[in-house]
Amino acid sequence: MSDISNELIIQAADGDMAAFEAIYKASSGFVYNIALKVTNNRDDADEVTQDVFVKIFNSLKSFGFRSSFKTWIYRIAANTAINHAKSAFRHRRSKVEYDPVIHDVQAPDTTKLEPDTEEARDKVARLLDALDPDQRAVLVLRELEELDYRAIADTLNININTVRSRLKRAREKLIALARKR
Amino acid sequence: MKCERIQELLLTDHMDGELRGALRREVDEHVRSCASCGEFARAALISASPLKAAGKEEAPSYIWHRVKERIVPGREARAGVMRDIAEFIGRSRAPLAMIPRPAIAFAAAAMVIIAVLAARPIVRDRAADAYLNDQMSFMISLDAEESNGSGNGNFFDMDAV
Repeated sequence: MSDISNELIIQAADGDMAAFEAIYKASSGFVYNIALKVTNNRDDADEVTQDVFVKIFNSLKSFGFRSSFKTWIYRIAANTAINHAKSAFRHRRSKVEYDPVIHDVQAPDTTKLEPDTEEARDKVARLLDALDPDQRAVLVLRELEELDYRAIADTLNININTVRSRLKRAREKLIALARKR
Repeated sequence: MKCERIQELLLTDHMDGELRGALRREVDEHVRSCASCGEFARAALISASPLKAAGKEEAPSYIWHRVKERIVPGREARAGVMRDIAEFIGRSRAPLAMIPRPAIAFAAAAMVIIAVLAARPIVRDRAADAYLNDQMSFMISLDAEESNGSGNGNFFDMDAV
């Protein structure tokens, strides 16, 4: 995310749409990527990204400049995405609890992934299906946003050892999926 | 260090660059000398970080339009209320603008005087009250004498009392 000045934040908080659009342009990429990877569904990611920016707009006046603006947005994005994914997961599970397709998912060959291809993204989406939203969130903050453990803990408001244990379990599942092939 | 702990670190702090110094060297040496942990380290490197391979995506352009649609009506509704209030105040002031300013000043002064006079009875002056009561009794006694025929008909003839 490119730097967002305090002046721009104040202007946007006063209802200046041009200033808010500048904030959107600077931060929509990582908000969308968090939303997409945590929900693992494009429609949900669209919805979460919209919700996040509506929340940001409505809360700008209460942003007290005590934490960094980027951390503040990460926090809103990650928590909105996790909550959305959890409720969507419960909803889908209640509908298709014994759908045989779900139990038949083939583990993708991650050794041949190529960046920025639809195929690679589909494979990643199938891998992420094996993880729960909390595990996806720590994985995306670590691997896509390259936050360190302390920053992930602050963003998700969890203990740093919880960050470790979620990463460990997530990666163990991914390795197990790769070995099943 | 046991293999279980080494593999735990391989999946977390070691992989993410959070492990430094002597502990990192210990893990690296163990991985070089232990076949099982060496194999685990290779598997972890290949399979445990799938997101980097997928890369980042841009948010679809329609999302901004949808965000704007959800924000602007709320803003306009609030702005609309403020506009209505401003228009109401403007309308209320319009007839006043047609009245000459001296007349408004005179009306305002008259209202202040009326307000002060209206408030006066609330502030009781005992001496004034006693004087008024005396006068009232005097008037009543005059009236009584008049109806008894004892008065001389001169209302202001104080000697006749």
